[in-house]
Amino acid sequence: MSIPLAEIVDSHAIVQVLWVSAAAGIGLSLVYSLAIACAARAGQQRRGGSAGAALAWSLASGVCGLLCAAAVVFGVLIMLSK
Amino acid sequence: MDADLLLYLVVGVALAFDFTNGFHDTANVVATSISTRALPPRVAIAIAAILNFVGAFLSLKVAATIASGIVSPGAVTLTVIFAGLVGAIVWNLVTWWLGLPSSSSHALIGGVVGAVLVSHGFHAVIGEGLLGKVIVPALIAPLLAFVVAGIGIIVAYRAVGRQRPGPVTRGFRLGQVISGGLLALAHGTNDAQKTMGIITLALVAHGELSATNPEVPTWVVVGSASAIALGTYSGGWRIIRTMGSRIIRMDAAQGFVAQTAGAAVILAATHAGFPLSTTHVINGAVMGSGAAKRLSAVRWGVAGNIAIAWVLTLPAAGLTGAAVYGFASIFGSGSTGPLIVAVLLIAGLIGLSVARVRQAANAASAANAATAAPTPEVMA
Repeated sequence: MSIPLAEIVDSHAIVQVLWVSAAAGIGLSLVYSLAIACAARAGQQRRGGSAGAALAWSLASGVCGLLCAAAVVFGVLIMLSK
Repeated sequence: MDADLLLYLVVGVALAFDFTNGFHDTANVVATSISTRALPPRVAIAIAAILNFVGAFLSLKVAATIASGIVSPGAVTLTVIFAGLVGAIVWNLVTWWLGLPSSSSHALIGGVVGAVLVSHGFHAVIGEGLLGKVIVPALIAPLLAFVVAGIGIIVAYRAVGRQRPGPVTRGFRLGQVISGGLLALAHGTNDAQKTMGIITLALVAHGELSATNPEVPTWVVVGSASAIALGTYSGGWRIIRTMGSRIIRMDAAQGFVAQTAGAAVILAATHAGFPLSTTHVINGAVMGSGAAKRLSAVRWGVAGNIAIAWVLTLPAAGLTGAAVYGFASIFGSGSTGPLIVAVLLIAGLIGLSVARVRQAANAASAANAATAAPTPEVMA
């Protein structure tokens, strides 16, 4: 008697691992890179004398940084949930 | 008394295995942070050791899989677990001697399955669990890490665009402190749980825990966490001495993305209760971040060796575990057989160490002789 592979493998868990890994890995890479890019632009604007634009880029960088921190905390909380 | 002695022996060997797991895997966890100079080596290793310890407390799902999802807990004896552990250690030593990058996790599972097959036959191995919870996830995870890191680095390069390299590099180095920490946390949670699962199996076999729904005792969690953290810390000092030559060169963005992708895959799989090879996942992520930038940046020969070791480890460790069980069983079901095997293992370890030291001394004297010998130009 043979058992189909689909019944042996917990496909729901595998699919969950696939999309969570992709979303977390690629998402964090993107958002953190945006935080760096915004911080670098803020520095450029500050040196160019545009205080308003520098503040806006700094805020955008801060929001991206906070999003990353929130994602990490959320991930750890999920791990802690039994 | 005899069974108690055997239990102490199994717990001792399991913790020693956990220590060597941390010792071996330090390089995987801290290499990218150190190579991109995100962290000084001593700081990187200390953080990795602490977070490996903390990570072991995050989840117990992998331990549950090892304890009840791969082999039938009721069919497992202390001698079987001992044989499985020794099988894994022997296979790890063989691959270390041959220079093959092997997975301690696959060796451990292979060793236990091999010993169970010999002792109780096929019906004691949960085939669905072995295939669905170990083999398929282990095949998917490194590829997933490769793809996630590959896409991640393309996205990261696009996002930072043509910004000045100085602030960008500093930013990614700062990010690596966090992503490296996450990777150490992920490593601690997945790898330490395998030892927890094995010790839990031993406690079930000894009759201290129920076979139907075994719960991991707190002292097992603390012991396994401490062993892997101590191993990570000890392994680090060896790495500091060999730094600079063996680590793949990568920029800070690649390091950040590889660590983030590796941590994401390991943590997601851990939450699903899949015991992965963290070594293969981290290697997959590092290769993915390198290949996306330039295909030739990846050492495809090393990748081939990893693939060979991946295919060989489960059956080879299984055969070793089976052979150790067969040998130990000659002396009966008590602790005599395992004690003899333990003495032989220690003697083998000493022999290997002496041979390694001699080999290194011969190589050093040959190198000294080569530098001392006059070159043809000097002779002329």
